[in-house]
Amino acid sequence: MYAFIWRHLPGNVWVRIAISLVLVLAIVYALFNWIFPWAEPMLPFGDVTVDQGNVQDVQPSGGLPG
Amino acid sequence: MPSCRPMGVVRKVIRGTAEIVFTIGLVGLLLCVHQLWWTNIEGRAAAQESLEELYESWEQEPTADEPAPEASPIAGIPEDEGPQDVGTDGQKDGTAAAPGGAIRGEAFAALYIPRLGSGYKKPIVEGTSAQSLRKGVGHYTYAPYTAPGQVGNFGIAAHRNGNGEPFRHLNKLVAGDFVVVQTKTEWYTYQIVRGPFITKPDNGEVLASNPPMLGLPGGQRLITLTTCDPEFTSKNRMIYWGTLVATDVSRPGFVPAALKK
Repeated sequence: MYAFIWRHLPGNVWVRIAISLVLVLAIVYALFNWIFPWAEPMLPFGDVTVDQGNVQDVQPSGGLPG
Repeated sequence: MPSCRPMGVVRKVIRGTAEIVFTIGLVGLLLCVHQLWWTNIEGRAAAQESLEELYESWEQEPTADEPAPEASPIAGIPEDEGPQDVGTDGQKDGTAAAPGGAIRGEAFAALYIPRLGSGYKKPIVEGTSAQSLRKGVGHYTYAPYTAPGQVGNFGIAAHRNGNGEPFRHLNKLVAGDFVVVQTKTEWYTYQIVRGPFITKPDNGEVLASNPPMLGLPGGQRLITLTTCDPEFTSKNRMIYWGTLVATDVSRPGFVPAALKK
């Protein structure tokens, strides 16, 4: 896979290295900006909230913020 | 790279598989870097920004005894589509959580916990959507809606790892520690009465107006702090409770006793 990409990059070795670097940075940018934030809620270590849906709360509301 | 001799099929398959496995490993490592390092940089910057915006908004409007009531619900324009802007109550950011309440996804108060550092100061954002929790501490907006200082349970949640990790060291809190909430008009000083209490994520009772495990008489003005436990997992939740011990009207230069060194 990597050899295949390398073979299909244009230019001499230095141009290819430069293009590879840009490609790697672009992929890391995409991962950090879109893919990881999208995947984060599905990962099993970011939940900090508790469900309150199952609580029968009989205490009257404290009213409105003031 | 010119190959000296044509690669056999077996060799190609092995090599291709190894490269894929290697790539998955790299992405996994990058994910760790993102979660443990990058989201903290972003989260701290976002928290700082929303705090500054919050203080600015307090200064701009004339400080009255009561904030102007806001229309509800307000149709907002969420920054993102999808579940990122939906809180644990199923409500989207940009809507008002209660008449006169803050808008989901926006900071409305500041949190001070002296035990976690004399400069510890985080914005409290309305709602508990993923986006809100990236900006700071999220405020649960379940019914009965409870604002800071009110009778009932003012419940807040924050990340323990990543995203600025406001509650990274929450486990250092001990009974008697102060937790201060500053709103536009008031300072509310709570004192921790119980914690750490480790429970399952579905144990919503901890957020009840009077959680049964506290065994307190009714009519309490409580604060509940929740985060995940053990660290780096979402297996359990760590809970702390506090009760209101002082309310002070906000005025220039005033600092509540709990925040004085």
